[in-house]
Formats: sequence, C-alpha cells, structure tokens
Amino acid sequence: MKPHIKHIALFLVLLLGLVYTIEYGIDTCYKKRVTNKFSLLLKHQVDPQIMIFGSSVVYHQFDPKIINQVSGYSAYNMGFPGMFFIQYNGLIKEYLSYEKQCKAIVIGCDFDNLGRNDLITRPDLFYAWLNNGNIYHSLQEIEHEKIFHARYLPGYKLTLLNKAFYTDMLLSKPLTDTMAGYEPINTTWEPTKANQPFNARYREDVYDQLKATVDEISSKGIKVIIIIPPVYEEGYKLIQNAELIKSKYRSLSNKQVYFLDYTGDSLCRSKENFHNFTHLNATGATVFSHTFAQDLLKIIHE
Amino acid sequence: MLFNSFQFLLFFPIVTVIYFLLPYKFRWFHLLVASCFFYMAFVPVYILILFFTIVIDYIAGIMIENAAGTRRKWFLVMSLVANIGVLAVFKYYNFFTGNFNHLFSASGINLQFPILSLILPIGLSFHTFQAMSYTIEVYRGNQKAERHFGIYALYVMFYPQLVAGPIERPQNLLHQFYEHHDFNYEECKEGLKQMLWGFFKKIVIADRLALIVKTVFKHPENFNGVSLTIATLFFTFQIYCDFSGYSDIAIGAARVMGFKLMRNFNRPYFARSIAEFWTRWHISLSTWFRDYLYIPLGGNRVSKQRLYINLSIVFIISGLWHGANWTYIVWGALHAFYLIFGLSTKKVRVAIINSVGITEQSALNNILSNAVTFILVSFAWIFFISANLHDALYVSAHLLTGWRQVLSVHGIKEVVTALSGNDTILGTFNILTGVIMVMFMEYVQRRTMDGPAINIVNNKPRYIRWGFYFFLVVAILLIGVYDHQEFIYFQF
Repeated sequence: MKPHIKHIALFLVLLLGLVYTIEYGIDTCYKKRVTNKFSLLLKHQVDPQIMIFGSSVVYHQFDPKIINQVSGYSAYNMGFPGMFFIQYNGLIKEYLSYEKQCKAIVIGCDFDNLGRNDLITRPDLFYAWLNNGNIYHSLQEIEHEKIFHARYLPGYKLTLLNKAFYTDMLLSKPLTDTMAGYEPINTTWEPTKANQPFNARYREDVYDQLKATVDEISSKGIKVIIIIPPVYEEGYKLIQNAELIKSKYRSLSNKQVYFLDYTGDSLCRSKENFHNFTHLNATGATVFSHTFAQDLLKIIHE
Repeated sequence: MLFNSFQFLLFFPIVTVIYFLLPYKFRWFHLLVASCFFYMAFVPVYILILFFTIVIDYIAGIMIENAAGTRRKWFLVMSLVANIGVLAVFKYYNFFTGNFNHLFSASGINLQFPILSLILPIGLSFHTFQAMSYTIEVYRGNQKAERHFGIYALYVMFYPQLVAGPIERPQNLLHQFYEHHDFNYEECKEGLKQMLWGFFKKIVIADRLALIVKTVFKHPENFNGVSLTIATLFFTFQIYCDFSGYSDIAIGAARVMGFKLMRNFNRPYFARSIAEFWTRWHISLSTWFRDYLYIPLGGNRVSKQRLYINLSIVFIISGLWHGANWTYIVWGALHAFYLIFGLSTKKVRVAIINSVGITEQSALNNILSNAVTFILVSFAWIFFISANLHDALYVSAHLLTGWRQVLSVHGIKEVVTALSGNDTILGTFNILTGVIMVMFMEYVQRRTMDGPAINIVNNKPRYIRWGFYFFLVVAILLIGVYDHQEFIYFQF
C-alpha cells in the first residue's frame, strides 16, 4: 500500500487542483461580465441616493427615472421577481457595506415578503459570489446544505451551474441598464386564476431579520422606507391576514423608519392601472412612481 | 439511497473504510447494517417486506435440505409461493384487478375488486428473484442451505446490488461473505474506475438524453416522425447507459471491498441477432430466466412448436417482470416474435445472403446484422418507454412522418426547438452533448471488447490514463444532470 500512497495523493491533488481551477476560472469569467444588475451591486458599481429593494412589485412598479425627475435624487431599482426578503437581505447588507451617498433605502413589500420559500430564486445569478459573506448567508437561509456544499466542497458548485448561468456568462450582452433596473409591464389586465381568499405567507423569524436589517440601516443614518405598493381592490379583499401583516410593518416605524401603505390609494380602484391583482402595468407604474417620489421628497426633507 | 446522490458520496467511503478497519468476524454485520441503512433511505417501512421474504427463504432453505422426497418439493413450492405472493400483492394486484374490473364492467357483470393504494417497494423484483434462486439452487442440490441467518440476510440485502442487481446466484456470492478480503490496491483501483465509468454513463449520458426523451414521450401526439425517431434512438442509449451505468457502479463498489459480482452487460448494441442481444443485455436476468424457466420448460430440446411456445412464455413473463403494464407485456412479446421469426426464417435468410455473394462471416453481413438488430431492439423500446399502448401505437405509426422537415435549416431548427420544450439553445446543447457523449462511449466500448470499457487507457502512459479519468470527472461535474433522476430499473 505504502508505495501507492504517493500516487494516490498526487492524483487527488491534481484532480482537486483541476476542479478548483475550472471553478475559479468560471467564477472569474462570470464576475468580469456585468450582464445583470446584481453583478453591478456586487462589484460596487451602483451607488444611488435612493436604493429600492424588493420582489416583482418593485421591479415592475418603481421607475427610477421618474423618481429622479420629481425628487432630484438618483435612484436605482434592485427588485427581482420571486425574490423574498430573506434572499435580498444579503444584497441590502452588501450595499450598506460600500454605499457613500445613500439617503434612503426603500423596501417594497408584497404581502408574501415575510414568508419563506424552499428554493432560491435564480440561484445562478449568485453562484459566482458565494465567497461574499452577505450573499452566502442570505442564500444559506433558504437552501442550507446546497449552498454550504457549493461554497466549501470543491467541484460541487459545478454540478449546480445550469443553462441560465452559461447563457448569462457566454451569450448575454453586457448590461445596458437604461432603465436603472426597472422593467415595466406593457400589457393590460390579465385575470388572475386564483381568486379564492387566502392567507399571505408570514414568518416571525423573517420579521425579526427584517427588523435587524432596518436597525442596521438606521444606525448608519440612512432612512428606511417600507412600502406596501398598490393592490387592486378586488384582489386586496382576498388577503385575509392583510391587516396583521400591515401592523407588523407599521410596528417598525420610528423617526428614521417610515411605513407607506398604498393599498388605499385611488390607483387601486381601477383595473386600467393593473396587469393583475398585485402588479401595476406600465401606466399604473408611472402614476405610482410620481406619487411615491412626492412622498419620498417629503420624507427626505423631514 | 441513490448512487447518484450526495449521501452516497459520503456513505460509500465511510462504509468501505470501516469495512477494512473491522476484524473479519464483524464485517458481515457491518455490511448488513449498512445495507439496511441504504435500503431504508427510500421507504423505511418496506424493510419489513424484505425481512419477511428473508425469514421465509432462510427457513425454507434449511427445511428443503433436511427433507427428503416430495417434502422437499413442497417446501420449495411454499417458498416460491411466498416470494411470488409478495410480488403479486405489491406489483401485480392492481394491474390484474384493474383489468378484471374493466372486463366485468364491459361484460355487464356487477363485480368490482378493490384497488389498493400501495407503493411498489424499490427493487422488489430484483431481491425476490435473487431469493428465489437461492431456494431453487438448494432444492437442486447445487447450494448448501445457509445456516447463518445474518449471512443469508446479507446475501439478499448486499447494498451494491440490492435494488437493481446484478441478480446474483448463491454459488457466486454467498461464499464470498466468509472469505477474508484484505485491502487490495489493484482491486480497489479497478473498482473505482468501473464506478467512475458507471457514473459517467448515468449522469452525463443517460440523464442528458432523458431530458429529450421525457419531453417527447410525455405527449407523443405533439411530435412528428423526426422527433419521435430521435427520441426513440435517444431512449435506446438512455436505458443502456442508465442500467449498465448502475451495474458498473454496483460491480465497482463491491469490487473495492473485494467482492466479485457477475457481469451484467456486454456491449448489447453490438449484437448481430436478437438471440445474441439477450446474451449481452441484463445477463443476470436473462440467465435467471434461462436456468429457472426456459430450461425447466424443455429449453430447445423440444419440438419446434413447443420451442416457440416456450420462448413466448419466457419473454412475456420477462416483460411482466419489468412492470405491471400491457406495454411491458407487448415489449416482451415483441422480442419473442423477433426470436421466433428469426428461427423460422433462418434457412431462407442464409440462402438469400449466400445467393448475393455475401458470406455469413463477412464484414458486410456483420454490419447489416448489427444494424437490423439495433433497429429491432430500438423499435421494441417504444413499448417499454410509452405510458400506455395507445401512445406506443401512435409513436410506431408516426415514425415515418414529417421527414421532409429535415431538408431545410428552418425545419431542423423547429425539430430542435420542439424537442427541448421551445428552448432552442437548451435543445441544441442537450442534443449535441448527448450525441457526442454517446459517440464517445461507443468508441471507447468498441476499442475495449473484453473487460470494463474504462480499461481503454490501460497500458498507456500515466498522463494519458490520468487525463482520461480527469476528463470523466470534469464531464460528470460540468455536463452531468443533477435533478435527482432515479435509475429506470429501480421501479422494477
């Protein structure tokens, strides 16, 4: 056996070296190409005065250009469809670690925002950044074992890279980002299939995480604006625990933390402004962005 | 526990290291516990079914050995009834009662059997057949009854081959549990190499091809003949890589610990006749049927008519062994038909070939025979993969439609897009990767006609050998499909 130990060790070292080199090479290539807005944040290349985080209700509803025109503050939309707070919490923390001029961080919440999903949304966007502590911890909150293995087990991450990752790395054009992260929905009303009353997902431990993050932002002298964007009134009636969730958000407000609830806004009464129960279309988003920018201005100047 | 899971990546080295660290007398116990753990990772409670058949066959083996005259036969029958009874309840009850219920309602008879909601225990047909081969061999006097209950239980439960074979004979495996296996570097290396080749076939080829096959055979009516043909050919390689990949991992894992399991596949798609195909495909099952069903029925030392009946019985039961569905029965019957047709037309075929100046041993005859066998086997797989007979007949009837489409680039693009669920980039990637890897595997297999295919690089300089192994590992990591695809044969 002894004469073979040298061979086995050499074989394993070379194999691990090869796997690690491939992993490192892919990560480096991916990081070099800025094809999406998260890379922009993780490379510390976006530093607006107003940063907006959230899920699709942010991505499709907050137009940074309008916010900038009305308020005079530069803004960036860091929303992404299907992303819950526990996932984008890492992005908020990363942004806090480098921002230089931030006046306010906006957290746009749909009613499921404080829930917990079993799977990471678009994990391929983050695989190259697992050595970033903030990203790692937020992803690990969702898929603990997978993310742990991906970071520490050589080669494991290669088994997770999917077509979306390679397409993003090899075929996507560099990010042009003329809308500062915003993507309007240019369609009219599409009826939502599920129209039964339901309870939105809510977890106390996620609420505690939100509270901790809000405290961290406040401690840096940055204002926090928690927003519930407009919901079409017929859809709003279906959310049975809406008041409970609102009260949770409201309980976070203080001198530095603001809670804005747009579910009673006049926008919510007309289908013309909506794509479905919870998402404004481009017309509605434009109106809403104006309204929000005016409210923002008041808050910043308080 | 799946071989292609992260748990197995931990389980295998831990079990192997402990195995070699333990004194010989404790090793059987260690392997038995590990095998229980391995099996219970699926549905824990089903170990009780396994325990039931183990106890029955253990007692039956001793009773058969101790008894004389017709009593021996009765004990054997009791054991077989118990084993087949378990299969009948868990695997076939719903199939037969469902068919009877259908028949009764069609005939206006007011009688309906209840349908049970049972989950088929993983690998039930495999370990049942292995247990049955034990009692039959004891009855025939080829194997002494095993007195050590733990060793007998290990014979049925040995984890590498527990859920999908190879179906071992007691003469080959039982005595190995009494042997002292010291760590052997060469055996360990060869075992690991065979496992690596198995993982490559399963994760890189089979699971990649499965993405296309699943898309098409889920709704075959949405596809034309080009797509159906491609999917059928892909399934031909998928099932080979899936099952032979499993066998390679099983044989390799056992070999690392010093156990020798029987070879289960011998390049079946290089066969030049259906009869030869069955000496190369799932060898442990085909020899099981040969030894315990075909020969007892009279084998080929009977009249022609009787021979054809025997072949039909064996292949229809073989089809039924694979699954309780008419599609499997038709698949088995189709193979029986191929064989019977082949036998009954052999003289005519040889005469035709000779009349055009082709000798039986010529390269051209070999290529033609190989091609025809491959096409026949591939066609039969349509019945194996289809969800029901209606789908299988639809696919069979539409294989030759829409071929004009491949005459234009636009048409080819449409086929690729359809095959991958409307994603051209993904479709191109899956098809290209699948085809290239199948060609690579076939090249390797053709170059290594004896022993495991991975031995292609034996006797080459170290940098070539290691480069080849590194290539396989990197291909598994980078091109492998990791969405917990089960092995096809687990369901049997």
